[in-house]
Amino acid sequence: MITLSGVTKLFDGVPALDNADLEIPTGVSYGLLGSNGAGKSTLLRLISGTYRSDGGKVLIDGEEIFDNARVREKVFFINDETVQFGRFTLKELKNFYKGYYPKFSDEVFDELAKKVQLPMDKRTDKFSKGMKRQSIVITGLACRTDYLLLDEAFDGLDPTMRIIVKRMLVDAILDRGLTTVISSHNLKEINEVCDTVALLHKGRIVFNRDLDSVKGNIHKVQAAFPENRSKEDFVSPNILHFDKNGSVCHIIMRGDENMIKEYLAPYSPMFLDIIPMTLEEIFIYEMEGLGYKADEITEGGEAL
Amino acid sequence: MSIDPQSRVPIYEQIYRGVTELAANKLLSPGEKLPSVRELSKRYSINPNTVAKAFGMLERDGIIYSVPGKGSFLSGGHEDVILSNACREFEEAAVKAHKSGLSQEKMIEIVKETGVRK
Amino acid sequence: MSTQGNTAKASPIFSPKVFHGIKQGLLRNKKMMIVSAVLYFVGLPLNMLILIMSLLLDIQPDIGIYSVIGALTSGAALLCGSVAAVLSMPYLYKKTETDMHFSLPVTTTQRFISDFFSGLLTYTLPYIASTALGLLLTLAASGLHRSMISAAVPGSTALELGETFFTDIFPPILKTAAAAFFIMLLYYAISTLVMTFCGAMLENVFNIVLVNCIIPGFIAMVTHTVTENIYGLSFDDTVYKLLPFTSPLGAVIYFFDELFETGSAGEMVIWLIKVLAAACVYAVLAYLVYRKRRAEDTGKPVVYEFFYTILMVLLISCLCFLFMSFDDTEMLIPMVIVTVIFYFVLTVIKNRGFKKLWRAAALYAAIVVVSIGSFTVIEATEAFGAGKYVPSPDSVRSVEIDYIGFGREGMDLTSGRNGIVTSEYGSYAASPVLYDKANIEAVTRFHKAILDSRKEDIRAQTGYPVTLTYKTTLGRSITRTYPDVPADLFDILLPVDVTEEMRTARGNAYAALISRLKPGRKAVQQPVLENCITLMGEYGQFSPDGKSERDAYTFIKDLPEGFEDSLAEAVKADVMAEPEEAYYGTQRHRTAFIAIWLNHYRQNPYMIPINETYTNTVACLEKYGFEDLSRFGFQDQSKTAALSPNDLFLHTVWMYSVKMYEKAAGKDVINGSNVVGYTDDSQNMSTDSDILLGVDLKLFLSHYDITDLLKNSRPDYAADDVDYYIYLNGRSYGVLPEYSKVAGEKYVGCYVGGIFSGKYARTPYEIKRFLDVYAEDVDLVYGSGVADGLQKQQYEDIYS
Repeated sequence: MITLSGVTKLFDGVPALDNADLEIPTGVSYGLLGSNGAGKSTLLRLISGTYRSDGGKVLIDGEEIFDNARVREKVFFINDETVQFGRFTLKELKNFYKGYYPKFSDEVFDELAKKVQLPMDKRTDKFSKGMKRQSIVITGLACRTDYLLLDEAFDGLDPTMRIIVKRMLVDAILDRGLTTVISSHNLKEINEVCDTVALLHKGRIVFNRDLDSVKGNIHKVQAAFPENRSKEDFVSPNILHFDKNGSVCHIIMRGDENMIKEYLAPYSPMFLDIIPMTLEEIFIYEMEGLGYKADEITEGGEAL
Repeated sequence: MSIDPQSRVPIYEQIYRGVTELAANKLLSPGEKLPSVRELSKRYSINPNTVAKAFGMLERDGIIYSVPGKGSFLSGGHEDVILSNACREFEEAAVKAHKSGLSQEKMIEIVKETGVRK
Repeated sequence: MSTQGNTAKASPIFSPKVFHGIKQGLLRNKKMMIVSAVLYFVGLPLNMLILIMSLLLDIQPDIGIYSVIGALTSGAALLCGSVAAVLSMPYLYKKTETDMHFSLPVTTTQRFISDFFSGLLTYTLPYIASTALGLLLTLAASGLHRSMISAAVPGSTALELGETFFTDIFPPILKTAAAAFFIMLLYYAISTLVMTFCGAMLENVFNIVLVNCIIPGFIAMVTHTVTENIYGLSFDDTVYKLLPFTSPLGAVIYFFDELFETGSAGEMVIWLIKVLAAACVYAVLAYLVYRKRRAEDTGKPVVYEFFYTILMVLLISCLCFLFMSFDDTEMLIPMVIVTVIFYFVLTVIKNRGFKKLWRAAALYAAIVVVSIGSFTVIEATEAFGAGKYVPSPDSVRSVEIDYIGFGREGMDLTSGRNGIVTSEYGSYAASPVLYDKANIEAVTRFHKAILDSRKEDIRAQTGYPVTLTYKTTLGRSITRTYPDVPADLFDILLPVDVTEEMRTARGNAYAALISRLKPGRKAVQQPVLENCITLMGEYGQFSPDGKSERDAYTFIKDLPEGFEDSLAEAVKADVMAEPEEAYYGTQRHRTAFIAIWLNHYRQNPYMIPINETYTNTVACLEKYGFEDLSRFGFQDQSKTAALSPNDLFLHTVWMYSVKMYEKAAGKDVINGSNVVGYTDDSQNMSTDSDILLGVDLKLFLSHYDITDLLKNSRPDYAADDVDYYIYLNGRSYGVLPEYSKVAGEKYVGCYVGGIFSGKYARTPYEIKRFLDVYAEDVDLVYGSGVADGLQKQQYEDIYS
């Protein structure tokens, strides 16, 4: 389990992560969502031990990871760069990491390389961007660490490569209970691959939940009430949004269908329509409810 | 079974429904082996934990049972569960329709038609 | 891994991961190592190969061009030390490398060790391999050469290379190779240290160059300023306390200046250990700074502002001191211009722009003000009067005194004091250390006299170097070197010379010299004497029958076993027992020298002066087969009188053109006559002196009142307004200007120069002039008819 308790990271006095608390249980596929500069990469680097926190602790399985070689054997970090591996051929990459990670498996490496049809003796800087990223992913998987951190993992992969990589991850998750932490600014991707998601904004963890429970627990409500109702009539922390269009109220409310029905029953709605929401819609309204404007979090509308 | 990761319906629910529909439509027979978690994850490009969760729910509800090392299988007594689920859902739909002003006669008509169409 | 252990112990330094990291680094740098090896190969190994080939094929090697190319390529490869250092830790200055390296499962310490050593091995392995090969080839070539020499035909390559070429080549090459290796370590360590402070490639390059220049520059400048202002501190001695091992440049300078030609193996080893220690210090410092480095620092130009500040302080103050040392107010403007340019260019580069300029300006002003201030203070107070300090005798436990006789400067016979002649390239015996209170007191008096003499505006005609090293009772060590002490001041030390301490030291020094002979090894006669002793008179050598013969090598003997021990014992005993009067005495007591010829590098032998009181020595020599010395007679100069106003001693005298008179008189005169000479050119006594000479000094003295003149002359005194010098018994006396007129009346200008070369340069007119005045005296001394004979003789000599 990865634990962050009260973790703060400052760069030249500016906090990139501000008093973050996070628990990533073993075996989950954890997604880190946020726009650029939100702190995703910083978080990943803290978990991988590259950065040292300025406040708070970063623990892997109960031990601090910074400058702890033994614990770091359990973590492999794949960042969004490919340049540093350019001088290696796949064979050399294999030999390099083999000496550092005790659980490294030649068979896994060779097998995965075969799956993606990558040549073993060609320098990786001659590969396409997608092939480069695949090289690092199969290296990380071959190290057979308990935790795999991926920063913008699928960036640069074409759809075919994406599927192949996802399948590799599936195998690893199922075969040895790999815990993945994947950062992305793309919600669709996180939705596909992860089961838990945390949303970062300006160094804060705004939101941290099981995706499925997110979806099942928030609904769009369209209702009409006998009396003329306004926002003030519906006071509940679960209501994220209230809008009125003519006589129809548009409410965004947390809770499953039954809960919502129960809540609204006293108001005797004349008609009540409870609709599940897409993830994007959920995120937008959650943010609103927290006081953020949606476009603060997205970048040019890309994420959500 | 079709799974849409982007749909409003949670993925595990889609899987759950998918399996029960297959069973109800006799596309899956009792004792037949379901695709493994792995296969489903890869086929639909979804998170295996989610699949596992759905399978867990199916197993909890008695619709499937799993044999360690062998996989998951449709259980024999699933019909009851499925039927009771279907009942519940039908009830809800009926209530809804009633509220919207659909007449009982119209409802019965629809039932007859859909039953035939099948 | 659960098997790794449940303790929280830190991962060990020698874990396999560290070796893995080193191996990976070497693999990565494969190409660089190969290129390096090739570059080194073009140097020594290739050159030696060519020489071997030319020996085997007997062709003339045109090695000049190859050695130049080899030196250039080797030099380039050596400079790549900083490249290797920089390549070993790319994550310190390239942001794209940080994630990969900082997330590896190694501790910071392990990472440092594996990267540091992988870079170091990248740098040194090619050198070691190539140099080992080169040394082997040199040995092979020297063996080949030696074996070919005896069969060599004139004109053949083997002879062309010179007989001693290869035996002389190997030791300096080995020395240089060893020195280079350790300096490489130092260079690499410094480069690594600089790198830990910098976050970008540009800064790395700049600062590595800068630091390598600033360290020696700063040390040199500060030392220069301080030693300039402390009379008695020598720049070389002081600067070489720190310079030789704190930076590669300093080490190289020191090596070629001091050690390459003259250093002993022991000195080399000690120095190399110091260099290694300094390299370790730098490496440890680098490690300490490295530990503090964070992944996010990579990419910033200067990670630690503190480093940059120190650099600037050193650089600017060094430049300020440099300009101020010219002692010229006109230098102020160039100083400001140069320092401003350096400072602000570097600052702008470091800040990547013109930010924070005011703060930079403030720092600059502060540095300049403090530099100028401290320089001025040091100058004004003469380093707080450090130069005037003479320890009180009570506080001194011992003093080591290194002066002519014991000093490092070569000494000629006529100016000897203690009589110990040392080698030109370093003394063969340690300088004497005096513990006796009276001696120490005399030395401090001597020291004070040296300091006082600075006040007087005199220029000694001959000054000699002195080094004093006091060890105080508190354990402090104070060293002063005075390069040009007026010779007459040494008279203060004369009483010290005959004390037991000094005698012991002198005796030991002689013994050390003698023990360098290797009995049992053959004495070599050609081309120069080697490994033997001869006996010499004043100038020239004694032959068995008493005749003075220039080239009489009749005493060459293969020295028998045990000879050197016996001789050393004898000499030591005689030195201890030598009566004071004999030591100080007239030439009567000092007319022979044992010339020790050690090796053929020196044309001149080492000399041990003996006189007739050295009975043990004489007995020893005779016992071992040297001719009966008594036959030579230590020159009896009873006719001479002490003339020095000091009234202490006389030396034997060079005889200028005495040969001429010998011939004329049909006599062979044994060297050792007193001469009084007038000359108006004190510098060129040996070849151009106009000499009045006489064997019987008394004659001249009474005749010409030279005594009075002598009373009005100063020994070893030279000045622009001195017109006449009296050269007497090895010492020159400058006639005080007031008496120039008197001297002029006595002066007979005639040029009768000549030395023992067999060739006489003279003109008939001069001889005639001389004889016009002194013919009577010449006849008196040499026998009648000699004066006439002279006139005729030289006429014949010229025109024959």
